[in-house]
Parts: sequence; structure tokens; C-alpha cells
Amino acid sequence: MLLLDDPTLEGVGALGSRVMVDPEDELATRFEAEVIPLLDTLYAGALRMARNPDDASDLVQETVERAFKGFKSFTPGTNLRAWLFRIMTNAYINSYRKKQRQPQQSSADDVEDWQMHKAASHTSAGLRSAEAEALDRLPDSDVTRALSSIGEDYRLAVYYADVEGFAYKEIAEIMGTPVGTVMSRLHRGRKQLRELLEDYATERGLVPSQGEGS
Amino acid sequence: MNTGGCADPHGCEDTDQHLYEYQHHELTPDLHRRIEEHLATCAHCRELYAEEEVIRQRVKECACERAPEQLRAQVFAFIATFRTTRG
Ligand SMILES: [Zn+2]
Repeated sequence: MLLLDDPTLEGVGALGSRVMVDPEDELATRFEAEVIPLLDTLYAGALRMARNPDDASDLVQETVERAFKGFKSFTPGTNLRAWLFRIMTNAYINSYRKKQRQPQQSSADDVEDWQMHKAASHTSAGLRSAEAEALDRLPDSDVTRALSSIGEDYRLAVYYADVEGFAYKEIAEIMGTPVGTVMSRLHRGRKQLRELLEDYATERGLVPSQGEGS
Repeated sequence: MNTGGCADPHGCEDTDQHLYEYQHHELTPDLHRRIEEHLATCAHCRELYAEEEVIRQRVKECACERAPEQLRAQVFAFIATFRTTRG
């Protein structure tokens, strides 16, 4: 056969004898090898969206199914984690958010707003370093509680930037918003988080008396 | 705002406004350097930044849940169906 001279077609001669690896099988193997190690990450992310373990598991399962269907279109070498999070975010918005029926905190997104709000709460330098220490001493449950009580868009932006370490551009793609919106969500989210954590630290008596400040 | 008597209040303003972008390495090299320089000279902003670093670190640490075994098994089972259907 003339074709066998072409080195790129090596192995084609075995056609019909079923020695070749099924391409679909190969895809499944590759998918498994690359996606399974990310399950914990996806689950932790899903918990920030669905906020209960059962829904989070369902969300990850749905994400995996959607991702498998689209895996052929995923470009190897690009950020698989970001790609999966985009699928998960879409799945969440399209099905879970509707199902949950929780009143969503609305979040207006104009960039100017946070610039106007910027730190009116500056206190003296001496107090601050004690504050860093107090924040460090908060129990994990307080941090989780604070994160789950800020608006969803803020929470996800903070999660993507601070936990996943995605670039703003990637977050914009994942959330389907302009980069400016990502920035404003991050600013507001982090400011709110900070305020909550400071409140918790005060309630727990971790912050030394705020007598003389500002 | 109270800048703690900093000699460069404009730098404090810049830093306050761009602190998160600085933290996430999203600024132009120029602006990044400017903020870095400001932080080196301004104790007030440095402490503010230290706090934001603590917050980021805490948020990062608290998100370490592991996928339940049942979910893991479901995912394996799902992938397996694509292997056997085309055997
Ligand atoms: Zn300063």
C-alpha cells in the first residue's frame, strides 16, 4: 500500500484489528488525568457559590459533565482551571442560582463608587499593626463566615483573585464582565470583608482599646 | 484622610486607591514601582498593606475543603461510561 510510506500514517495498517486506542477512550483518559486533580479546587469554589455541600457536589458534577462534552474544544496548554471555573460559573448562574431562590444582594458595579468610598476609616499607625495581629488571630470560622456574608459577585471576585490567584483578565472572562467591573467587585468585596473581620475581632476582644485613635 | 503625618500624602492616596491591584500584581510596572517606593517610606501605608496581606492569606487558607469521596466516585463513574460504551 502506497500510504504506508507516509511515516505520519504509521499504525494505520493496524486498522480493523482494533489495536489502536479509541480516540474517545484517549480523551477520557486525558480528561481524567487533568481534571481529577482539580476536584478539590472545584469543590471549594463550588461551596463559595452554592454554599451547601449537596448543591456544591451537584454543581461540580454538572461542571465535569459539561466540561467533558466540551473538552475537545479546550486548547491544551491554556489555563484549564480558569476554563473549568468559567463552565462552573455559567452552570451556577443558569441553574443553581435560579433554583436557590435566595434573595441576592444586588451589587451595582460602577467603578467610581469605590473611589469615593475609599478608606474614610484610617486610624493611627500604632493601632494598625495591632490590628494585623488581631486579624491573624481570628478563628477560621470567622473568615469563612465573613466571606459567605458578602454579596455573591464580590465573594466570587475575591475568591478568584485571592484563592485561585487568577489574573483580572481571567476573572473577567470567567465572570463574563469587563475588567473594570472585576476591579470594582474586588475593591468592594475586600473592603466589606475587612470591615466584617474588624468587627469580629472587636467583638472577640482581640483589638486593644480604641481610645485615642484617628 | 488621616495619613499619619506622611510626607507624601499624594502617595498615600495612590496607594490606598491601588492597593489591591498592587497586591495582585496588576499594575503597570511604573505604577507598581511608585507604590513600592511609597510603601518603603510610609509606615502608615505599610501597615495598611500588612493588614491586607493578612486578610488575603486568611481567605486563601480557609478555602481548603476537600471534595467528598462520593463526588469523587461519581466523577470517576461518569468518565468510565465513556470508556465502556465504545469498547
Ligand atoms: Zn502613605
